[in-house]
Amino acid sequence: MEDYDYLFKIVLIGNAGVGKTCLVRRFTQGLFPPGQGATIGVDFMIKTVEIKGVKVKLQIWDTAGQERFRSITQSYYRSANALILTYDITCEDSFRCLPEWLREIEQYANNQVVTILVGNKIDLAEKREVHRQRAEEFAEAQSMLYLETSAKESDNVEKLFLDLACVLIREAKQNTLDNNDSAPMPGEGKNINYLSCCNIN
Amino acid sequence: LIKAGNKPPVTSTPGKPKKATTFQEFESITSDAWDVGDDDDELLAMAAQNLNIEVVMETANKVIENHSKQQERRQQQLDEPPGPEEKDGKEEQDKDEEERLEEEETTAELSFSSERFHHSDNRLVKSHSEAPIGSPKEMSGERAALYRQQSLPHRPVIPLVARMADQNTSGTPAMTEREASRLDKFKQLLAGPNTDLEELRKLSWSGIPRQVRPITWKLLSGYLPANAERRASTLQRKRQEYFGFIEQYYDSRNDEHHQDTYRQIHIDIPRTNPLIPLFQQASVQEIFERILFIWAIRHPASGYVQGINDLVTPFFVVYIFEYIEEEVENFDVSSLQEEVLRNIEADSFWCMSKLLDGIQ
Repeated sequence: MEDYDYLFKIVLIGNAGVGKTCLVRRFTQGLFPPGQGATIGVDFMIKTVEIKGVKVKLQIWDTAGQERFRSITQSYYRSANALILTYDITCEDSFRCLPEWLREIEQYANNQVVTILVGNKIDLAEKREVHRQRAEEFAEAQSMLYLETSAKESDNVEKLFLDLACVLIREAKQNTLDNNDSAPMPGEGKNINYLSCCNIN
Repeated sequence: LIKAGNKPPVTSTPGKPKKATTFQEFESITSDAWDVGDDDDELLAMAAQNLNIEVVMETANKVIENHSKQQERRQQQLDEPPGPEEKDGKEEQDKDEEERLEEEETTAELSFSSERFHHSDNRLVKSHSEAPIGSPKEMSGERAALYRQQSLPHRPVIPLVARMADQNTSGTPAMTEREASRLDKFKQLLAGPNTDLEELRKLSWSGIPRQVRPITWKLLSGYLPANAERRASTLQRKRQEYFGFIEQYYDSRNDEHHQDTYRQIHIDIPRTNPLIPLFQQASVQEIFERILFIWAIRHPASGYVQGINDLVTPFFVVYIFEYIEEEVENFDVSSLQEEVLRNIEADSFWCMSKLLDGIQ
């Protein structure tokens, strides 16, 4: 018997060097590697969390940010239940690439996928190039959740993944009710109500 | 895994003082025990099928041997507290084994870049002064971890020169017969007017002694010709050619059509071997930037791909070894002559290019 109630697949995407791997490692291993090399292709880690007595296994896929790897990373979008689109708040460039990433999502991801925009590196506040309000507005316009994090200081990292898990559980439950099906199939549900149970932001 | 035959043959009577040479004696008595292929199906099945069978056997046997050595050592320590001389002998042995592992890590980085995730937490070259010489328990734990990672042929022999250079210690035991004969084989092969590259490749499978490693890598990568007479001129021509590229193209890194390439390289340089001081030096980072940028624009079909940065590292380290005696991790490259550093840069560029040519 598998020791979980739900299994969700979460894929991190975003430009190179914005801190995708560091977010994953902070969440799954509780550490911030001082020197994190570039991710080649795709890597994944697993963490099981318990939310209100429900065991949720999170399968977290970490992708290479460099454009050169897109053909590899694209194939991981399709079966994702959630996407964490990451940019670096100290790097305007990584923010300006977001529309490009949204096109990728539209093209390759399941249209029921939950997408959250994450502005990472808030520990470097003095180097901030992208204002929070601007990012929030952008996220809202694109129907995305928004959260700012620091993998280094561990700010909001736990919240990011747990909130996502909450949304996904809701979605899965909703799906079960609608289909009157005892076996929930996460990721194949209908539209998600973005007012999450965990009060994001 | 442990067979009856692997049990150490030395039986000691408790309380009876041991000679300082007991361990060396044991080693020499058993040194040929693993030369003959011994079938261990379990290990073989685990090994990659396309690996050379001899290499697999050697690795498997070496692991078993090391394990039984550790058992033996632990048993000895349980039996009686070691005398001071004997203790020294053990530490020497520990050092040797540490070193072998370091050497293998370096090689593994080169050949199995796909394993970089596993290696990323282990520094490429461990400084010897920092290598733990702790309790046997800790040691075996660390070794076990390293053994699990390595999938390359075990390198049983480290020549004296390498050992001294790596450790900077005096009084290292003399080179064993096997070590000496291996080094001789390399030297003989390399001494002729035309090096037999097939033979050299075969010999290299079980490890290249440090003092002949740079020349061997340059030959096997195809950078240098087998014909010894032509080598010096080839080196000169290739190095000039590389710096010609720099002169011609490097300024274009800020051009619009190269900006993405250069930016990506620039992001990756600080996170190339970030825990090793050698790679934090500005001049080293500039060398990597030049090598990667020139390679990228000369290979437009590929361009710079994340991870290529890590492929430069082993060449760079081995070619620095050609000029220094001390450990490389904390080495300050500004103590090298400018000309020497330029040669290392050009050689690293060409060998990395050769390596990638083989992949494309």
